[in-house]
Amino acid sequence: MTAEMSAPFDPKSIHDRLKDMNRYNPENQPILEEYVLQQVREGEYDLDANMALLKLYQFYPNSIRHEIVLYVLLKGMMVLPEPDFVMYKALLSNLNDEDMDQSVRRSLEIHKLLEQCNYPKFWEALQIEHDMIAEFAGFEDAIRNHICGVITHSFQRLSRDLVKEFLGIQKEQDLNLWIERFGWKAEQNVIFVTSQEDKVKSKSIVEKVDLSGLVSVMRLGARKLGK
Amino acid sequence: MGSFEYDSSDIPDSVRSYLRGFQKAVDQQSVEEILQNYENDWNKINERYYKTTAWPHWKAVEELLGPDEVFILLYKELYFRHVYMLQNGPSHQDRTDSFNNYCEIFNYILHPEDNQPVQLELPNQWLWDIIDEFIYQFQNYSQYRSKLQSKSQEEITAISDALDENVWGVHSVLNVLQTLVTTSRINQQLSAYNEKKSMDEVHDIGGIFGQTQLYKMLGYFSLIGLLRLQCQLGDYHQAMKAIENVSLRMKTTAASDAADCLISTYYYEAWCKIMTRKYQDAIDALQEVLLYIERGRKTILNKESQYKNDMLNKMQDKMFNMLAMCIVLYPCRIDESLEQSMKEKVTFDKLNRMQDGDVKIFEEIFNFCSPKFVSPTPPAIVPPFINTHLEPTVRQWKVLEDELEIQSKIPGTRRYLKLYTTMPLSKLAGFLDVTEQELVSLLMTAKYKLKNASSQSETADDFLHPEVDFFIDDKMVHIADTRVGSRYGEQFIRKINKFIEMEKVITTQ
Repeated sequence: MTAEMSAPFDPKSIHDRLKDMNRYNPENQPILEEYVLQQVREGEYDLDANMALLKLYQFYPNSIRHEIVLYVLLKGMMVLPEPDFVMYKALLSNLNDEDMDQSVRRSLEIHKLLEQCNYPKFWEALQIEHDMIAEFAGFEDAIRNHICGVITHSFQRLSRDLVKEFLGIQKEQDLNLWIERFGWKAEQNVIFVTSQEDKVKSKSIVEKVDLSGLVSVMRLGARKLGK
Repeated sequence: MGSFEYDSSDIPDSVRSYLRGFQKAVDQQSVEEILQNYENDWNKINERYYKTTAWPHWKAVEELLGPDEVFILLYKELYFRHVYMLQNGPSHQDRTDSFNNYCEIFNYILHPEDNQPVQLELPNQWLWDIIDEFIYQFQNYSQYRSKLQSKSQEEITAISDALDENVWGVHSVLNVLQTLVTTSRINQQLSAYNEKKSMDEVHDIGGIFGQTQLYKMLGYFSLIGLLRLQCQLGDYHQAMKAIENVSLRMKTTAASDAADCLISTYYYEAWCKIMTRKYQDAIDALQEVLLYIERGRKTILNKESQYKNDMLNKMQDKMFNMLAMCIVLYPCRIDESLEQSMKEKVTFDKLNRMQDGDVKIFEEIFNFCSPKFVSPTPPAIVPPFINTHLEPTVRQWKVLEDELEIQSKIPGTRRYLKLYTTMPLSKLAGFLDVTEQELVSLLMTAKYKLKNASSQSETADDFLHPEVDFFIDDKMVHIADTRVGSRYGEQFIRKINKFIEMEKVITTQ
């Protein structure tokens, strides 16, 4: 690593390195790896740089560092519902292998629990693998943020207990923080999330005929009439 | 080998005069004539003389025509393309020679001695075909060298040597495409075009190279090439980035000369969207291109190449299958004629099995219509010599399969939801034979997938609303459906336009 490229890295200088064919330069690898660690520590995120690193791993499989792959995947989990995790997954060249790194495999399973909205099981699994995310600034909060988003789309009202289960929290004060953050209303044991009735209504979509589509028809009509 | 091995005296007279005419057209840069020679005449002569054998060796052609560096490079491009289509396919030497030929062509174009654009004009269709074929041969070689099982020792040695010389290396291919993009400044030109700058400004932005038709079009086609290549490498992020400046209008404009470029663009774009769960975006793209093919069939199929027609039909089949997959995962109303054709091509049986969450049928369809995924790295050329060429496809299937597993119970759930306007959770759980807890997860997943199937906002005019929507209110599910009124207006307009066309044709005859 040259002197100019020691941490902390700024996105612009990283992206300058990833321009054109230099993106595939294996010399970028150590810098990109350090950059991943920086993202983990500081709670930042850079999709393009991470994809570039995984691509280098794809091109030079002997240089793969599994713990970095794991970190990238976990970072991807933090930005759900964006498809970043899936895009990372698609670049893993040992995806099917029996000798795939155990932690990476575990993270894929945990991701699945999240995607299936099996939140109680997710928090259980995360508890077991707590070392995985020990370094991650803001991991749990990012996930909770995502889950609250899913709740907001799916529910009009649901019980406090259910929300606590979904968010993996026990304390009432913690729950109140999330209720406030998302603008929900607490009504005794039930939380009012949002009025879904307005958004989810039976629709009857009436055809709109675009005027431009009619031009040729009207021209024809005019011609015929003119004869 | 003496030049007497490549004797031009075997070349029939009609072929000789064809080649002379072709060379003249290229030298004089008359694009119309070149196109005529390239498409119609080549196919006619091919049908007559070279259906099962290779065209005359380029050394023989050189002897016939005299030295002509550029024309011979171009001729060789066509020569090898034809070899790939013969029954036995190319030998390893052919593959290597073809690669070297492409390197020479691109070197000629990208590194001219005087740093000025080369004096060459070719029809857009040929330019697209060069890029398309270049990537195709790379993909073909990647698969070829991963099938080590039944290769002779000689072949294995040849492959091993070729590795050392970086023949068909992924870096070379990427480098060519990337350099064409950079040299032509196509991205900057497209940006300016999208910002509605004047054509003069766009022209200037292109710089001395990008201003010329040759470089500009090669640059544009390279963007599509990168979309394809990155998709085949499993990098959906880079693939989508490659066409981030390519607007809808640009796609159709560029396609006016090379319809298969447009089709390719939409095909790979749709795959990127499918693999990143943006099913609605994929449906959008697929509808566009399938309607384009349906409406423009006559002009697209106007070529004399049966091969190209077959390719088009195959692509169309694939895309109907892709559309079917997407509709199962994101049920919404699509164009009626497309829906009809889709049901015919994909069959009710397959559609039903997909609805039931039958992963095997998804796998079958995936294998039928997915891109040829390739690995950027060659396998180790050491015993045991096995076939690893399918691994990239299996990996991408695994990515999709995991996603399908997550969604497998959702279509079944939707079937019940369609029948009611409200239902207690406990009752629905009973129908589906799951616990209430499991049901809530299911419903949340269904909603979650619906919400994230598009990169567009819900208020956009052409947003495709899902057929069935719902929400949970404490212990009850409330269901809403979207009814789309029959689109009579659209159908009438289409039929009227068709009659106008027919009338024109009849009255001009």
